[in-house]
Amino acid sequence: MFDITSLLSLNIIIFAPAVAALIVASPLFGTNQIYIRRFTKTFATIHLLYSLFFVAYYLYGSDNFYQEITILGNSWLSKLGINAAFGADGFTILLCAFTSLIFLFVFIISKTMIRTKHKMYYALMLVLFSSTLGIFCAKDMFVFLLFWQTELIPIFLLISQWGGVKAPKAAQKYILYNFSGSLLLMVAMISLYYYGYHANGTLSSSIDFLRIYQADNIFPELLQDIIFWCLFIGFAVKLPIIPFHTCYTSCLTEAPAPVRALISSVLINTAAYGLIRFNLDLFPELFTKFAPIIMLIAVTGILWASFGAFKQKEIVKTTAYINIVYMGFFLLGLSAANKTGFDGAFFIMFANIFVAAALSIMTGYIEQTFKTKSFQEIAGLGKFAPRLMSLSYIIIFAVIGVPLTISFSGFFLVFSGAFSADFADALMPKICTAVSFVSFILLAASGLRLLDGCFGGISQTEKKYNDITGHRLMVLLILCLFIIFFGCFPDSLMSFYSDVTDMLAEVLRV
Amino acid sequence: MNLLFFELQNVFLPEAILLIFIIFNIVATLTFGKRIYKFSSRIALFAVLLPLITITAGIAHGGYTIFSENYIQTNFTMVMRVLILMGTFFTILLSQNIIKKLRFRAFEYYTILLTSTFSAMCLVGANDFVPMFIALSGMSISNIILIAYWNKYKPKEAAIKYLISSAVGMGFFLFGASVMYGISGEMNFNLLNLHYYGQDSSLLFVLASMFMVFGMMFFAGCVPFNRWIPDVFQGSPYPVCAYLSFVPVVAGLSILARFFGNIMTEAPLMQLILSVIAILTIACGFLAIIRQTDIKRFLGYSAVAQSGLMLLGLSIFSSYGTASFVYFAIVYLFINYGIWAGGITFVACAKSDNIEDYKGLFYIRPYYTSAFVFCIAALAGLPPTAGFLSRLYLYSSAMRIDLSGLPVLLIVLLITVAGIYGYFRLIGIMFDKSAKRELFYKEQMNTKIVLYFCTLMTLVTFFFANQIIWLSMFAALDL
Amino acid sequence: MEGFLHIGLYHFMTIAIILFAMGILGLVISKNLLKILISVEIMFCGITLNLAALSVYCDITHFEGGMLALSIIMLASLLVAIGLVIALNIYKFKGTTDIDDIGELKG
Repeated sequence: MFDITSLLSLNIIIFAPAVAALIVASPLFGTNQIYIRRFTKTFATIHLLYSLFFVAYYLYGSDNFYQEITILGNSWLSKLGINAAFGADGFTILLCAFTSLIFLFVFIISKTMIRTKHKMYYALMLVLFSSTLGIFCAKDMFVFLLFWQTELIPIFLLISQWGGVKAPKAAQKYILYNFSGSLLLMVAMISLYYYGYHANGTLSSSIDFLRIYQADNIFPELLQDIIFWCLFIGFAVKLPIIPFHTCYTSCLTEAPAPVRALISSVLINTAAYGLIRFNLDLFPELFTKFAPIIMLIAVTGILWASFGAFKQKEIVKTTAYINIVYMGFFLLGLSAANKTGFDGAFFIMFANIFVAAALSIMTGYIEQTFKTKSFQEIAGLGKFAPRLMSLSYIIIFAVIGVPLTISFSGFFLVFSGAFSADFADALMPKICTAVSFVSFILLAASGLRLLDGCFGGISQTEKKYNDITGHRLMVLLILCLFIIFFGCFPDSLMSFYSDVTDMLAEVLRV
Repeated sequence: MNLLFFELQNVFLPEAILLIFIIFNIVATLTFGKRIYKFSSRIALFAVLLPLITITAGIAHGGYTIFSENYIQTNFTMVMRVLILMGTFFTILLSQNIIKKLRFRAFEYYTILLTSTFSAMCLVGANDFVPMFIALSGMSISNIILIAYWNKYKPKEAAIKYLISSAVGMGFFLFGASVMYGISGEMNFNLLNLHYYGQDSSLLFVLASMFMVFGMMFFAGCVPFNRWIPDVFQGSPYPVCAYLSFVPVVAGLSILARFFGNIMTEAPLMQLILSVIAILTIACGFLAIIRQTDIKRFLGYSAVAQSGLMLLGLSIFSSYGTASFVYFAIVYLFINYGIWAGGITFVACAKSDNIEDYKGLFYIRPYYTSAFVFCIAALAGLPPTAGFLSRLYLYSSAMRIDLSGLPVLLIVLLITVAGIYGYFRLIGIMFDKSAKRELFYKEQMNTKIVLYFCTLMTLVTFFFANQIIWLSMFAALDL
Repeated sequence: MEGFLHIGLYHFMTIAIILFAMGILGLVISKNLLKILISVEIMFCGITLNLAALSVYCDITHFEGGMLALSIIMLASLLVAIGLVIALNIYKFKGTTDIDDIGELKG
């Protein structure tokens, strides 16, 4: 019997992009940009097909997907109890597949937006690819941290080299914020590492190992609270949650459009994934204890970001704040601490991938056409680019949360979950949810302002603008198709992670 | 077990081989050096490789003492001596540019270098205050001559500063040693152990150990003495700087590790003092990196910060902490020589020490810059370099098994952010495309080999970390 | 009174500590390079005295302190000799031994 699981190897998915990066960066490859681009795009396509193979196997092939494709104990550092263990269930493998898709799109649109130093650009992008996949699939805390920190240098170089005028400063700010966050993560993970030692007597940093022992209250209460908040702040810096959002908005403004798409769709999701994996999975009781506070943080973030999105003067900052609103909704759904809320939060994660990528690509095209980002100088594109305008309408409908687009289901589930949250103070979640409805109005306003500002009006100059064609059209079209498809059939997404949310909700209830 | 004189080869063989080569170098300097100066580098390399082979091939065993218990060989000293010899090996490889200028006087340079190495190796194995002091002063005097050897003015000033700092350090160390001798009547580490037990409450003993530690901090470049270390680096040529930032630091810290590991195994006050000194050193190092414009001072302050980190690992007083120190030292060997090799390769061509002259280096020499950036990332502790693992190991041992080191760790991590800012400033400068000036660049084979090899080894120690951590645990368990 | 005049360990140690402190003080205060070197020598003298006294009064059988004292005498003089050579070189370059004037490196 042909054992198909021998073809499915998580190692290949995670490390193949790193190997491809080495090939691209090596002196043997040359600097011919056509060859580099073709090689990268081919590689990304093959990688996407391979991940879809995994997804298909999950859907139709196996009953215990997790057991079959988990790689345990590569004994990388077995002396310290750190094993290079990778594993994925349905939720994770879908995230990996979507990451591959977004990276492929980013590679496609980089053709016109990146004009210099292609070799370094594609090599760095491939390293980033590998590190995000490693974050999603890591089953060991320190391996997670390793991949988390690996993406610092590529992003620093990507933003500072191909970005705007103030890009080096934005990149340094990004490094400072994220490195501090990851140091907090390191402190918390080392504490958890020793926690496992006290619980069991062996040193191991595997997440499954820790999950077994997290119910034993070995550490004092205060220490557990500190570890929880260290983890939370470490992820909050990247998510981004409101006090720490300044680095995100300045980064997004200065980064080139493909990098922007990447940061806003994929990298934020790694932070969201980290929150789920660590704060929720390992600390259920503390999570329920702190859920009201997290809800307050989420609502503050939603309101602040919505007001922020409304009063921006340039298109990219508006999209940045819209992203922060989405992540605020994610946090709201998580803090609801019931199954509906979790379903909604996970859905928002997926919605964010598509909507944020589409927004960034759309604003990238507009910026490329007008060579500027501010609302005052952009006007009247609608007459010249009807295709771009129609696709942008679909994207903005998704941002607003019109039904039949992907974010409607997410918002609906999040709100119903948050409204019915079971806190000690029964009135608080209802008030919070009601207050965050205001953000819808502001989201709608900023989205429509984006549309009208870019496509409406009459352009001041007499220039004719080109519509998007070819590969640029195809990328945006496929993203909009995904938005509508998952909006019409949300169950297809939810079937991937419903068992995960069931399990999480079970643990919280018990 | 104390070996007699005719059995010395089990323990002292590496040092003896070095001694023979030092004598050969001295004789060559005085007599036939002018004829065979072209071979001086190869002879010196051989002088370093032969002891290395001796130790690693297991000709020398562990656990023996010689010279009536004055000199000991344990697993720890074997590993540390290998590190010191490899450091000197890389230094010899990096000093080829200087040797070309020295020509007939090459053997003198190698005499001084090998004497310093010899003293460092003797220091690591010292088991008594007398050989410790002799090796310490041998090492510092050789270093002073190494710094002062060159013909310009700046080395002289650097040397006098190093001399004064080293004299103060040795004075304090000796004072503490003498008081400790007065309390216990013993100078041998094996016998002091019996006298120490429970003495931590005795104020005099604590004062004596504080004086000793204060003195030893000079070699690690730690807090009371770190003001002049960047000056010393600025006044010395690059290979000497590369040597000084690794070998004396590792030797000094390892003798400290041996002293505390053998004598004061349970001394909370001492742990606290060492932690405070380590934190201050890291702070001084990283905070000063931010504003530097001279690459040598930058790397000097960075070396100060790294030695502070190693001291943090040592201040745990457990085998876990010492293992993290040994692992850090092994990784630091490659990172340090990679960084200095990068500096030499650049400076030999741009003829400038200024960081601003590194602008736009990536666009002229992409692979060299990538390797250099990799080594800087290793200094900063980012994956996928071995610097990440060494830092992780260090931090997890600093937060001890009962999590009592949490405040210390939080402070250290806060300071590390400043270090990251400084390192990324350097990386950003190298990629800065606003420089219009053309860098005149000449290929330097030796230093490039060292640079690429050290970068490769940083990656290799990352992937094969298990064996190397096994090695550090093997060393740390037998202090 | 009689007990006070009997020269014991504490007398030697007091003088040794005074010498050591004077050496350190001179090192910190002096403006002349030669004075700094002399202070270094004084510091080592204090330590030697300390060691010799302690070894006589505490460990007369093995006399290890005396061995260390001999080593210190030898190596300290070596150190200061080298320091004098370097100071001479500095004087040749700069024409002065005042430490305020000879600083070229920053800090």
